[in-house]
Amino acid sequence: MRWLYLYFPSLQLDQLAVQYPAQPMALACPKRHQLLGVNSLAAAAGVKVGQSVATAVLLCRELQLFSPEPARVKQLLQQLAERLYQVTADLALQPPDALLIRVSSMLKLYPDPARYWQQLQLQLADCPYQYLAAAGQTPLAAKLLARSGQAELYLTPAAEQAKLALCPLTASDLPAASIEQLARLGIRQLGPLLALPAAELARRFSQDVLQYLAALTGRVLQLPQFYRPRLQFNRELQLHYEITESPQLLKPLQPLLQQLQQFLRRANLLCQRLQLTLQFRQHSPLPLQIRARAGEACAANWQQLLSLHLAQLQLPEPVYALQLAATDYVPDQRASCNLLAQRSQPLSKAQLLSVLVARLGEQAVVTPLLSLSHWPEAESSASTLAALPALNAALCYQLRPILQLPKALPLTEAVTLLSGAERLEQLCWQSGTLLQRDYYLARTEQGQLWWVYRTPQQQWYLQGWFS
Amino acid sequence: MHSLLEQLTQRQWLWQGSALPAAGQQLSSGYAEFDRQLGGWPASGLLVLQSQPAIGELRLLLPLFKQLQQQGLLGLINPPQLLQAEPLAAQGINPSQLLLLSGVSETDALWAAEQLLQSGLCSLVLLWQRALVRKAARRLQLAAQAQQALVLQLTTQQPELTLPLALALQLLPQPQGLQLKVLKRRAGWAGQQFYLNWQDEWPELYPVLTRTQAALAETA
Repeated sequence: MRWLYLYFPSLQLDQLAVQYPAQPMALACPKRHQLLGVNSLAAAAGVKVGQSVATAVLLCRELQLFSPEPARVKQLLQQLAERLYQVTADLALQPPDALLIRVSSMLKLYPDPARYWQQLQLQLADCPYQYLAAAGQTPLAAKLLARSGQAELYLTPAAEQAKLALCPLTASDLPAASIEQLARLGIRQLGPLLALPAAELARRFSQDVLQYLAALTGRVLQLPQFYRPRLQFNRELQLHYEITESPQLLKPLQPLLQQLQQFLRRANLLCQRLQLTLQFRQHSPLPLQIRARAGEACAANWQQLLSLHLAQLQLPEPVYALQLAATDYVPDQRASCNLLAQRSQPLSKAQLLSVLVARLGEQAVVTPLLSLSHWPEAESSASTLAALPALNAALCYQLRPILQLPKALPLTEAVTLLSGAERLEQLCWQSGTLLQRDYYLARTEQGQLWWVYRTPQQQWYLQGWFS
Repeated sequence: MHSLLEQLTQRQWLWQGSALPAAGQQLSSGYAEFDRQLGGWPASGLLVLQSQPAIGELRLLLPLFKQLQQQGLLGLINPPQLLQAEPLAAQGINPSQLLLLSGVSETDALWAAEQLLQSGLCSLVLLWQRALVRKAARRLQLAAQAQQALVLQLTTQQPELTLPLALALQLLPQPQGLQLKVLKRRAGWAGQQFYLNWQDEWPELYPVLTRTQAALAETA
């Protein structure tokens, strides 16, 4: 047992069976109206691969037909590889429907092949897919055994040779023309073909046949391209029913968030941004950005952020599918925290900001900034959570109002001037005009303390409150 | 009789002497007269300041800000105008310790105040809100007490005194400073009045009138 070939004969139908249990189903080629795959319920009713759609529907009235989706099958295979990569190192995708595993390197870690196979089976048991597993001395031998339906795991090399010799050539990867040529010679199984001398074969058949046989018997070692996990998290989910209320989306998202947590924990990463794309039947897809400032791996925290986003969302239409992608990764570095603090701190500042921004929006949450400009309207800058400049001595601003009106209002009340005037000037470089204001501290009859100014045109304005 | 007592205690209308804050647990207000009258600000819970804007309601709190910024963030929710970092920095308050939420609806403001308190990162949350309903007040008070933080509501309206308030004060402007009136005080008497003289702290805002000026002001 050096190579293991896992063949998944009906990935798409098995996946659909989760959605529609107890339903006879078949894959049909939309152009030729021919069946490409059937599930066990349909097969029990007499439906077979290769039948025409009309015959199949007559045989089984409840038969549901689906068109093959190669992209989806590829994704399923990718997910399987991701899952098996947790227990095995050398793994190759064999599109469209198989995985190849190099066992010999993993056997150093396991006392015997059975124990290792048990681990693989544990991973496969969680998936709803049927599979055939065959072991062989070479990748092609394992493949041929699996494809010809002689899936056996623990064979001695001699027994394996005997099995291989019985394999029909139609199950092999030989070019179709060569198979036919061999069939005319009366060679339909691998055994007689292997018995022929190589020189004779070379004279009468193409190079492909010789190469195939060399790889099959192990005279030439062909290493497949091994799978490397992508550092990307991207999952799609077809909902079993359409969802009209946005908070209900949380439920199907939960397993995806769990997967995200696993993915991030394994890579020792935190994710700063999630993109959730909602798919509608008519409306164009709706992308949602969910941010966690410091990065987050925990599924429960992501769920909280998502629930805040979704609570405010109005769905234009029922959602039938969604996609969750993680972007912006940062390494997971835990900050030290104070063990003896009186307050318990379940959140970090960045986490708190993420929660606030998720509900209130980016523009509502700010940290005031020092602008260090003499001109009052320039002072009113408040940055959205940007890094702060160094805190300079701002003593000259001691007599400035803490609260300032966004735009100065004409003064309409009688006030008593308390002190002043402080003249501020600003040259507007664009128009070349010089703005001049004389500022006073003033007191209204109600006792409110205001910062007011007078323009050279003797007009009075209210600028701020000495709260 | 016993169940009546229990009911009153549950509604926080009745207090037991053992629950009184000890002298050292209150926060100094930074004003000698204030500390003499009230012993300082309560260390945690819900406070209400009723005041017209622009009479010194924030300046009254500046020493408290300065003290509490050492222990955590200061959350400011929905100030009525733009908050300026410069005058606060001039008073020794680090703007990076401020977390400002503005333009938030009243329900969101209450939610945010609770989040800030529950996070354990804020030592003080200042909320400009006209009125609090009982349920919201109770939630804020519990969140504040759980994290040993203060939540302060600034309002222009007469506060509802049956709410679970640790302290409710009314602020009135005075030519020399500020007049404070105790509307409610947990485990203490209401109705006290006292004055803070700010002529030394803020000479420009509360100028000492000369005799002629005073006479003029009187005749006016």
